[in-house]
Amino acid sequence: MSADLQDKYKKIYRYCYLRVKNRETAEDITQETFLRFIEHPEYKGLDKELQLLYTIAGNLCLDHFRSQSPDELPEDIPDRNADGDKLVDDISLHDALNKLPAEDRELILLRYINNEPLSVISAIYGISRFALSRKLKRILSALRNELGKEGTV
Amino acid sequence: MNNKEREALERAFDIPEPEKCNEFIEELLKKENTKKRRGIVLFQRMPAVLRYSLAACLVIAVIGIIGNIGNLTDTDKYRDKEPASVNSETTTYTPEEESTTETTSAPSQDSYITTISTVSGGNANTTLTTVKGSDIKNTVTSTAKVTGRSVRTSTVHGRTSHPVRTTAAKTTKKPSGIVTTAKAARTSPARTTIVTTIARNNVTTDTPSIPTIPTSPSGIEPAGTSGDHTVEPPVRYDIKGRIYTEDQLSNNKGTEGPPVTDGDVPPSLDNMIRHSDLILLAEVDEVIFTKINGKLTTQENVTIMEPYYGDMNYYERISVYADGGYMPMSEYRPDVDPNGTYYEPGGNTTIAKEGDYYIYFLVKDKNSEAYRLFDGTDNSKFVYRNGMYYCVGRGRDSVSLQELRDRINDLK
Repeated sequence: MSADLQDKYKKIYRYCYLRVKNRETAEDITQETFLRFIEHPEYKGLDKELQLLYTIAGNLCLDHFRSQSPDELPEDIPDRNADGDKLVDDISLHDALNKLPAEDRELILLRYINNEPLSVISAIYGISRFALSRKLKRILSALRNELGKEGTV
Repeated sequence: MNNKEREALERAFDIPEPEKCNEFIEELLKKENTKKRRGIVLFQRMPAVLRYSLAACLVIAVIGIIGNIGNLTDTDKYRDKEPASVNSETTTYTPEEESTTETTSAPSQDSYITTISTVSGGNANTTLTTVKGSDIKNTVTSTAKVTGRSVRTSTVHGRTSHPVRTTAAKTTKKPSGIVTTAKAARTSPARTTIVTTIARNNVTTDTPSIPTIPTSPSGIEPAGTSGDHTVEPPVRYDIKGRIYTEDQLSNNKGTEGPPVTDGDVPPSLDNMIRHSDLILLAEVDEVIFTKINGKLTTQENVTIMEPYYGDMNYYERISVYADGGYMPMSEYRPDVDPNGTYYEPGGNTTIAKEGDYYIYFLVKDKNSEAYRLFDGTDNSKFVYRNGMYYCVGRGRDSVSLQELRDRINDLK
């Protein structure tokens, strides 16, 4: 149970981090998400309703942005040059990912990093699994085009 | 995508590891355990009078259930009543020497029957429980001798439902003519699960997520404002057979198919508010697949629950056109499968269901009395979830009814 929870925690944390770009804020939102989740009327157990977790996390991220003043910048913007061992490929991929629209980045993270099933993601975004599958294909194709070499992603 | 590629993606996202994960999970688990115990603690903390009253109520309920068992013997009284819908789930466990069949049936929307049949040695025991709403109405246990491979144990009829005949390895329902059979392999350990859902007369037991629908700003339902402005579609298409999409058909031809339009920039909420002819909250009454001016269209006939902008009133009915829909393959590509159905999403990837509630942003159709979705796609529809309305097309955009009213006041 604990390992499973840890996995869920990390998934929600990654999802939040992708949006707020700040480790501490992402972790605060993740914890708030879980606390709200167990108090939620639809809550049935910590092992269920992953989709609900994402929804709560998404709403909390939106609340966070609303509460921020426009000129407030994230404190720890990741510095990719700090890691000298990083491969050129990774940097290119990082740039290519950053060029994607925010929602497309989220979809890639949910599907390929968090390994969420299509059914969960499609429910979060309110689109059909068929449309989601096509969208993912299109995003991957855009990434490939951006990288200029087939087969990297 | 292989593991190497996933790792590359993970590195590219460059997300640092969380630091407080383990501490928080420990606290969370403690909190959850406290929550689970809260129910018991609540009972213990109740005043003695209340506790004894509650216990007395439970005893009365149990006596009532036992007292009603005798009524179950009247087997023919309910034989002719047809169920509107029957949902049946059968689980069969068959170890070598004995077998158990558990059947749950829902003869009507608010009641169900659970039948547990156990075959052990030469005896078959059947326990039947009928539940209506949250109250247990009847429970009966009967025993019959095993005769042969398929053992009929007893015929039990509930007061509030329809005849359900249960055997150890066979479940038969009458008079609907529906037979569900779970064949038990007696010679080896096996577990079989059969789930059958049969809906009669197109009655479904799904309960849609229904928002709190406002009646009118004053809270009083306006009288005499109902009007039917729906239009008759030129043709109605049914969904039958296998569903084909353009992608599938294109693959058959070996081409890449049409360009994907998902990347089009959707209209913003403010833009839709500024340029819509009608903005309203409506309940979907009917979904029709048709063709308008040569284009596949989904026509939603809706009842207005609350108009926010435009010249429509409460409870008037209108037709809404959305791009895309279904049509018979016999008309589109009879060479592939004349019995199938072709589906064209057309940006309207989520087909509405009867009973759904949406906020619609609509523009007047040029050629008829109907209205069209603002951009023809799901981006112009908002669905209710967790207290907010979310854009069906984009998911992330959300608005509350109050925010919507405020924006309309600002922009219109």
